[in-house]
Amino acid sequence: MKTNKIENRITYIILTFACFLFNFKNITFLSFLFGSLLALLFIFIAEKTNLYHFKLTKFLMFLLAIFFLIFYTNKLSYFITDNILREYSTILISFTILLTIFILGKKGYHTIIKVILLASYFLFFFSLLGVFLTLPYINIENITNISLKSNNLFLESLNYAFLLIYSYFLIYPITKTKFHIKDFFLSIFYQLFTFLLVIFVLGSNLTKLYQYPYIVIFKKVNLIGFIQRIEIIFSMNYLFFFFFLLLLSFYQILYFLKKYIKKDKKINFFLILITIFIFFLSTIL
Amino acid sequence: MNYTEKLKQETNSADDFIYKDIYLGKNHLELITIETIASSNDINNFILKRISFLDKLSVFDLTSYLYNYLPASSISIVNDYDTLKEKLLNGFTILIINNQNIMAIETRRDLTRGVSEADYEKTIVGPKDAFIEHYNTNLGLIRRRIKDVSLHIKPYYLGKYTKTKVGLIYIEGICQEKLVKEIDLKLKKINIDGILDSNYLKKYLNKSKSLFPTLKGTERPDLAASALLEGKVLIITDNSPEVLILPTFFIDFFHASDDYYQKPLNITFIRIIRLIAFLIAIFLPAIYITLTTHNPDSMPINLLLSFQSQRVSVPFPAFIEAILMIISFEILRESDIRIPSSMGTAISILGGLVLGDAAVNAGIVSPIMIIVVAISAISGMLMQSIEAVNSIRWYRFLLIILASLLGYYGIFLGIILILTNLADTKSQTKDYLYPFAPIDLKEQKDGFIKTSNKGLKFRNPILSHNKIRGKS
Amino acid sequence: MKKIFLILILFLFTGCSSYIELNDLAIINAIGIEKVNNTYKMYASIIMETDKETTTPKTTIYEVTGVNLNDMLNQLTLTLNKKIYLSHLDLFLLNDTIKTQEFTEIINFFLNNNETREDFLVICSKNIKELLEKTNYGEINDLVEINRQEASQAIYTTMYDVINKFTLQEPIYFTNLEITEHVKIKGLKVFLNNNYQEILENDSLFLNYLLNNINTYKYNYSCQDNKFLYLNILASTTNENEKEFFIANELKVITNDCNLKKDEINDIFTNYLKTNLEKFTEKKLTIKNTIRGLYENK
Repeated sequence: MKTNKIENRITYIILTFACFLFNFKNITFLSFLFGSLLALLFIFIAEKTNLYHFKLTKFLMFLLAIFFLIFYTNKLSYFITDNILREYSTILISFTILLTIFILGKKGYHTIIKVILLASYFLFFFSLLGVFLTLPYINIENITNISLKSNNLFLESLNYAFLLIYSYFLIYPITKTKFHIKDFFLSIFYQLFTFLLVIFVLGSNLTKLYQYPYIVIFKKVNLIGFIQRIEIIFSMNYLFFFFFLLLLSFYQILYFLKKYIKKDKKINFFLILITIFIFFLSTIL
Repeated sequence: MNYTEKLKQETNSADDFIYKDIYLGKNHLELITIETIASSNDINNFILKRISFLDKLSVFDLTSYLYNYLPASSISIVNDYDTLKEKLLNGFTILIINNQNIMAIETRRDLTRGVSEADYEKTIVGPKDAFIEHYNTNLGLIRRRIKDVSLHIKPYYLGKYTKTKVGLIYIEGICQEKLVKEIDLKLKKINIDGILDSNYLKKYLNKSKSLFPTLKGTERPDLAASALLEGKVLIITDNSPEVLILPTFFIDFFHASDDYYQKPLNITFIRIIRLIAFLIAIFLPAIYITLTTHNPDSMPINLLLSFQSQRVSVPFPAFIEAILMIISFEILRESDIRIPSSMGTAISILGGLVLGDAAVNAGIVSPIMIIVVAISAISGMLMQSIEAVNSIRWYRFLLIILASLLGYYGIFLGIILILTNLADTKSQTKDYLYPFAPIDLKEQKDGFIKTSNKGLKFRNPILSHNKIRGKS
Repeated sequence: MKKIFLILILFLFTGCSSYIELNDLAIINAIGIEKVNNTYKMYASIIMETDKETTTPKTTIYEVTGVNLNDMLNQLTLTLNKKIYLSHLDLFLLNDTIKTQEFTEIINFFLNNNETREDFLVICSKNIKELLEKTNYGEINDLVEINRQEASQAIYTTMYDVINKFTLQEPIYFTNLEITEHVKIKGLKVFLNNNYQEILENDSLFLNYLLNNINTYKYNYSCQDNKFLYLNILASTTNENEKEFFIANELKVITNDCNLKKDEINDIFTNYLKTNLEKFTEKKLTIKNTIRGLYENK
């Protein structure tokens, strides 16, 4: 599949940032570092041994994508009902999420990448803007009080590494582009930066207490008396990041089906079955 | 070979067909014209006058004499009945000489208006002439600007009853041959009754399901010439003042024709304003509806209280108010185009009063809703192409519906649907969102931001193989 | 296929049930909570409309009783028949009677509620109802803010600070307000280990010194009858150690009637600070002053 290489690299940055954002509560400073190192090692090994060529890895990715969708559509719909639409049932929202993912996923990899690229223009802009808006609210006391303790360092870093590796497998082996370490370090650097920003603004104690600390820092912003109440923009950012992860994992399912089933109607049938299966399981869990 | 009898039968002895018999000694000339298309002045002065001189001369071979000495630049020998009909219906005069040789002489009457100013693509700086309904004049306006032999034209005669002349124009060496071949195939497949305007061809030339147009029609020859120089293809239709440019990209609807005649810094500002106007036209009513129904927490408290006090008197929910206002605005706009100017002022006053003061005082709509709809409607008309303006309306409706149902999440879904719609379209197998979606940072220097003219060294790489534009 | 699609889209129309008209919102501006004779009382100040001449919103006050905060908000919805809207909450008033149990409930409520933003002002006061009736958020906010900037006696605590310090079991500082004819600041109150400790107006300045919360204030010293030394303290920082406090002040002399010299002014001021700060700590104090303005050089 010939796609422009820059687009794949940009989507990788977006996906890793999404992994970081919705895993915010489960990482600490050390588990973050260890997890990213583990992921880097595994990705190097995977590149050199061409892991994706084996049928087993493709089947594993297919299953992983299904499990990922089951667990995380629920999480996304809870996020939406907590922050954006407060009187809604989560079932309806997960239904709309799966519906749009289904419509989008069938259009093909090129259009998905183009949509992600177009969205990335304003996502990057708003992320940077958010950094500048919250910089005045850094508290010097919080800088000295970073707690490095974590409950279970090994499990947390594994969890984080798994997500990074998963997002690698969503993009690079399908399109056969080369993996550049620059992207990885760029995204890790930016994730570290936002992590530290949140801790410096709120304090390590409050970040543990709140459910979505990345959004709570924007509730504090009140500049000039005019720039206030902007957390809705950043929760929309969060939505976009999360959504693209789910979209690409859905495409992974479609890719696997396309390789081993040749008739279009059968692919459609299996796809609809799988999405209904995902929908029901996600509402139960 | 009695074509006159056949013609009289087929046309049911139509009134404007003129059959004149001329006897010059032993020779018998028959002149057939259509009075309404041919110019009788030309026939009288250049054909009949010359023929009248033959009375005193003795000529053996009348056909070769007439062919060589008639003061007409376009004479051709006709061999069969179909070409005779074709020439006759195109304004030519037919001379049948001794029932043996047939000549067709060009004596077309000019039934069109003269070259005038552009109607809807107005600019402050730059040339102001516009295309008209005459094929040759349009082609002439382009040839004046591109004086090179490599400007190639491919003619087609499309439409069973109209047989309109359609020309495909491109510059060889810049334009890709693949593109020309594809369009050529598409045009040859057309088999309909008639083509009355260049917009009839749009169905056959693009098959995308997008709401946004993939073909641009222009009435300015300078825009057409600059498109040719970029590697695009033009389609001129007879009887249509609109010339089609293929392939068009999304960014072309944000460029105006006088963007290259002013300073780059001013142009970036204006293009950014166009982008902001586009976003306002789509998003503003939807954002207002979410702010008043699902998510009032993004508003500061004074604004919230003023909205609250305004909505006390209104009996409808915000969604229905918005739809009412938009529909009445569209009715006003449509009537503005159709109404003759003598009745225009009274109706515009009525429209202004009704939609303004009276509706607010009667308690049907709130004043903020009028402001929102008016601003979004006005900013939607900032594009130069009417099709683009019309397609913004659908995006606005989609977002209003989604916003009233699902709030900010609905706006998010709307954004994703709009982006997929735009990303999915292809204009003649090239990606519609070219410098932005398949990323090309060099071309983005002429996208929304215009850097200085040094960036114009290279041509658009997906449109032409000939990359270097000029050394400067 | 398209028919199925249309039927599916009908599901989206169920969103009409969660549609809220703006006029059905009860916008709560301030909440005051106290416990009277083992009954939990809440006073909510709800915005009704704006006065068009001034820009201050008109509020009315409702009183409800209940078991905890959630229960009281339920009661409020029943009395008002409107949906409670806490996103514009600006002020939270407490009393001496709110202790750890009530604090845990309140903090849990605000942590789990994603609608509220917890940067509203939290204030302690004895007569909550009178405060809410006679003044509004704007006045109180200005009072506390200007006092914090100009006199350095008040502390601007937001709910973020309260949550943070309560969970870390550190002392929480509230400004104490009192209303007789006008609103006045009557010092600070410190909450620690289920007890409130009152700190008077004159001492709150020195507590702020130890907390590094000083902005500017003014000091007036009478060296003789009708002759004064008036100092304007522009900035000060305190650094804390295990054993001692380092305090650095920047002074400006405004009136120097007795024509005191630089050293004398230094001594006067350090003595003033030391005698008052020793009430609050046992650590060693080192004070440095940089003096500008009218004085005679040595």
